[in-house]
Amino acid sequence: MNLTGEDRLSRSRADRTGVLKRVVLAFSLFAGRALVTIGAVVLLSFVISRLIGDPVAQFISADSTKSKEESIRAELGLNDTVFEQFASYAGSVFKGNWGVSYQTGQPVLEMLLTRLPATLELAFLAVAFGWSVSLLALYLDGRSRGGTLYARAIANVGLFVPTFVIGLVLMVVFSVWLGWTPVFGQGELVEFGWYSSSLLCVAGIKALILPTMTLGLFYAAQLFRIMEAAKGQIKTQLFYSFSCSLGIRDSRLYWKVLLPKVVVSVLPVSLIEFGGLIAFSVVTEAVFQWPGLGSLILRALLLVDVPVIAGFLLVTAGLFVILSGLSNLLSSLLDVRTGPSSLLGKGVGV
Amino acid sequence: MSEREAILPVEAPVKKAQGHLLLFWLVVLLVVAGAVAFLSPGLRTGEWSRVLLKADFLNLSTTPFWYGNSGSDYLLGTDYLGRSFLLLLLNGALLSLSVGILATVFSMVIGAVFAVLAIARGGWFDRFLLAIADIQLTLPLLMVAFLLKGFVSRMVEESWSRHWDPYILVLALALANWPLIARTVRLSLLQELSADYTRTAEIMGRSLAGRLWYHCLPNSRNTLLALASTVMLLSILGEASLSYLGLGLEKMDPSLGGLIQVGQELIFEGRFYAIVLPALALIAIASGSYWLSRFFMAREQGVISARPSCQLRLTDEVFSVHNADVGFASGKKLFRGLSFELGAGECRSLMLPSGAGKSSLAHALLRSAGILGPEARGAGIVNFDPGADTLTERSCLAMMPQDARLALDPVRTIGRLFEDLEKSGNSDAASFRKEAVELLHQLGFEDPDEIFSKRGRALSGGQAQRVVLALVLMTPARFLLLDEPTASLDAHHKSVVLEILKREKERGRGFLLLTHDQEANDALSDQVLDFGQPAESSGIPDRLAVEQPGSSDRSFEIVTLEAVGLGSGANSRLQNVSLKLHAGERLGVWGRSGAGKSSLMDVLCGLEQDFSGGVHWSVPEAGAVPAVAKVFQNPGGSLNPAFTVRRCLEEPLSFYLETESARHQARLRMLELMALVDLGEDILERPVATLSGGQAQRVALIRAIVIPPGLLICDEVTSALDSRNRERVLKLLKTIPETAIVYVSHRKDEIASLCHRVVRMEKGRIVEDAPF
Repeated sequence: MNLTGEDRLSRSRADRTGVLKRVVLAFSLFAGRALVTIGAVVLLSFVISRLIGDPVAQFISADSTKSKEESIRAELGLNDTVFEQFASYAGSVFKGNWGVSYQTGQPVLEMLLTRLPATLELAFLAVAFGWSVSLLALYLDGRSRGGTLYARAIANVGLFVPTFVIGLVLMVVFSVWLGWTPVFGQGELVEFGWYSSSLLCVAGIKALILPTMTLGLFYAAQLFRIMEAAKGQIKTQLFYSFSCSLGIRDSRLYWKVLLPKVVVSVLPVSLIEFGGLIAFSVVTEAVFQWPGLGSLILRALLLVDVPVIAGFLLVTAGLFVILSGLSNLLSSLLDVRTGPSSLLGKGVGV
Repeated sequence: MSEREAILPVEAPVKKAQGHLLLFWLVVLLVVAGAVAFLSPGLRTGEWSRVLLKADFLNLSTTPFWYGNSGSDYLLGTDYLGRSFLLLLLNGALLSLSVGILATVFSMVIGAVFAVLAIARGGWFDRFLLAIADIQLTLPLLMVAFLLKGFVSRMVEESWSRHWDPYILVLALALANWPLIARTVRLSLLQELSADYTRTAEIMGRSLAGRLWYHCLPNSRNTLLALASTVMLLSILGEASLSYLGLGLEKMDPSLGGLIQVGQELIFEGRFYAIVLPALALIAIASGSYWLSRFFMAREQGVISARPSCQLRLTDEVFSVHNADVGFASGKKLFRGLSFELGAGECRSLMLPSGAGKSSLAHALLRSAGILGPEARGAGIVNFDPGADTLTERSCLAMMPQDARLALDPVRTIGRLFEDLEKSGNSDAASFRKEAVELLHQLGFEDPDEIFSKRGRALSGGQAQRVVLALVLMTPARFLLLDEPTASLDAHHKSVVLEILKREKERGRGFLLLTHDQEANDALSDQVLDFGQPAESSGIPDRLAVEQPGSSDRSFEIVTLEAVGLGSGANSRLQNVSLKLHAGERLGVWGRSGAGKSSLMDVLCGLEQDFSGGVHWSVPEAGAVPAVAKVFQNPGGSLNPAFTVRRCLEEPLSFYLETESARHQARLRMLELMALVDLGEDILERPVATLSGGQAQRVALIRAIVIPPGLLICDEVTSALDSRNRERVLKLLKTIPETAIVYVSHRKDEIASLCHRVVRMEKGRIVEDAPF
């Protein structure tokens, strides 16, 4: 992932053929990397579904005979060579057959799909919240002593306070003391086929507020750190010094020169951070007992429900590949020096 | 002789620095040992938990003292098993800290080992490693930790894995974080490996391990510490999150995360302390360990001088600076005692060679006047006192920077830049636009509207410089800092620009002109400023007789190049270069940039191995004499900033000379050479970072010739120096008659005074080879 992009100099954007070339190059790079990553993750999920737990265990009861166990083993193809097993596993993964949960007996793909809307809605709202808070912090930072203090406070809360502590504090204040929001759960839902949304009724929206703030504050802190670094980098450049020396008004410098450049350089990285956000939603969903992907995978991990774990791995890998591809595409289109990657890197979330 | 011996201190100060380093590692080792011991199964199931965390079934779930249940033995109450909450808190904090420390150390070791391997092996291994790191990024920490625990519990018995649970968690956290570390360390080491001072050591023949240890590691210190502090934070918070989710440490022996999970039940009873206290402890540990490792980072050198504070006045009538020292926060100085006073309609000029710090001076003035913020890169006035006698009016000063293309915003059009100015001033839009168009016309733009629609990077250097001038002239600023205003203009446009500047001067503007262009100076300047004293004491003593060109012994050929080529096709950098160099011969090399001078030097130094043709040496291969040494263009860059001057100078001595007596002789020679070029012995103990450009370049040269090499390569060694330092450097080069010198320069006068022979290069070939 060429996130630093130090070596790429800004060129004239009038050069249309250059843009096309860059996009094609970025896309082919992306496709290659995506294939490798997906392949590796399919391999990994195959390995864990064979090594952790016993696939036969789910089909046999305490009184099963040895011969019955053997026949199930043969039926599942477990007596074939490892390569044959992997080939058939990979085939079924691409056909959409991701196996059955040990716990509920439901198809894994279906379970993941029904949980997806809750997590997606939470994640998108958190992104919106994170962007607004970090932009506000960027605006306040350096404007006055108080403003700098607020901006630093937001950054440090996101850095030093674990997500679950933020969530618990919000819960204590707004749900337990003030009683404004429900303590946990998703509230009322409006269903459209398999997609059920909590955005369309008041109770649902109320239930969304605290999880959104918890997850969004984490995202905001990440974004603010990248924005701050990008801002510092722009301020060291000669064109900025020159504009300062020309006596251009501060507000104009901020809105016309600084802000667009900061946003453009943060945009590609923020897409990658979105993947980290989905990963971090496990913790937030655990705090608020939010019925999304996160609580599903947490339960699967605690109960060693291997097919669900393998399925979740595939989903996160797919998401990461799509997001990093989009991010590469975006930065090659925008063709600006991408800001430095966030200090905390990406995907290191819990 | 005896005098000299007395001056040389017996123990080098380097030892002291190593002492600090030793202490640091000792502390790290102790802390790690403590953490290992604290997590060990012996302690966890033994005395510690049995005695201190003893269950007390008579006092289950009691409340802390402020709930008013006097008579309880427990200050903070007990948990559901009747264990003291205070001790649980302490235990949890120690657990979190131990896991965090061990995970950090482990992941730093794994990441650093992989980074070094990637650099050492290069090629496919490097790419493979990056690919693995990329793939692992798709897995959240949670999954890595779980998968590892799953594997381990399958491989070993459950009771065993329960005992070693904390260590498995440490390993899992380390595995989750290593890609971040491997990438950062790799990048940082690669940067250091390509630095000039590391290259110098490479030419000297230091192995990769030696270079990494002596040159890369000390200079990556801040990066590594910053990384360690981040990883520590990630590990501590990661452990807490995992434990909170029930995937981390054993519930019966909870860390802070586990305590919060248990305490969550109690908040509905109103007992908020059960989550607040562990949360506060967690935040304190996380932020404390983060800031502690930042504390060990090397800090900037303080400001060195204590001269009477300088004054800077900037009003509509006068722009004056009195008694200013200009330099960097590191202590490096550019100018000392700079004073001038500039009134309306006047022009003062500073005639300085390129690289002498003109742009730095301009930035320093702007920063001190409060026009640029502290983030702007570059120098400042170091003894500037923004106190009583200082008056600055920000809008009265504007700068015209030298590098005009970089001064224009890369993505906004020129028209937008003029709009910025118009919106920031008081004049109305129509008259402003008319004026701007008029000015651009005068500056030789046929169609100003076309220029308005272009972006800065689409302009040529000369066009950009004129646009920048137009922008500067459209400001209401009374005083202008002109940094080489005519540098990239052709003769016609130069005269146009100088006419316009003259007119502006008559209209009452004041200029501070920083240039080395005599024509611009003659046209505008009323007075050439003496730029204060140069940053070092003057006067060159002529203690050693300096040998003149032509008297060297040309007995044998030290190196022969036969039809050397480098690269092929469009990437061809050298073509069919043949060259013979005799011992003691001084060869000047000149040519435009891109002519292949650097490639030729790389082949001679051995930095470039992948060439065709033959290079034959006839230097004695014995280790006592370096075959080849190189001095780099940038004086600051070729000395390791982590070293003192003494350590830099003595590096070749300890590398080449075996006996102490030989080293002693070499040290005496070193002192003689230093005296010859006016470097005092007091300089030996100074950190390299505090040297001025001229001093640094002389130190670099002395290091290269203190044991005279067979061949010395000098790459534009005088380009950043003023004339006085240039003379000193040339003088040094004449003290080694037995050494052949390849002197690359674009200054013909230096080549003429120094060299016996000169070759001219063009497009990777030698096109001219003539004796002087």
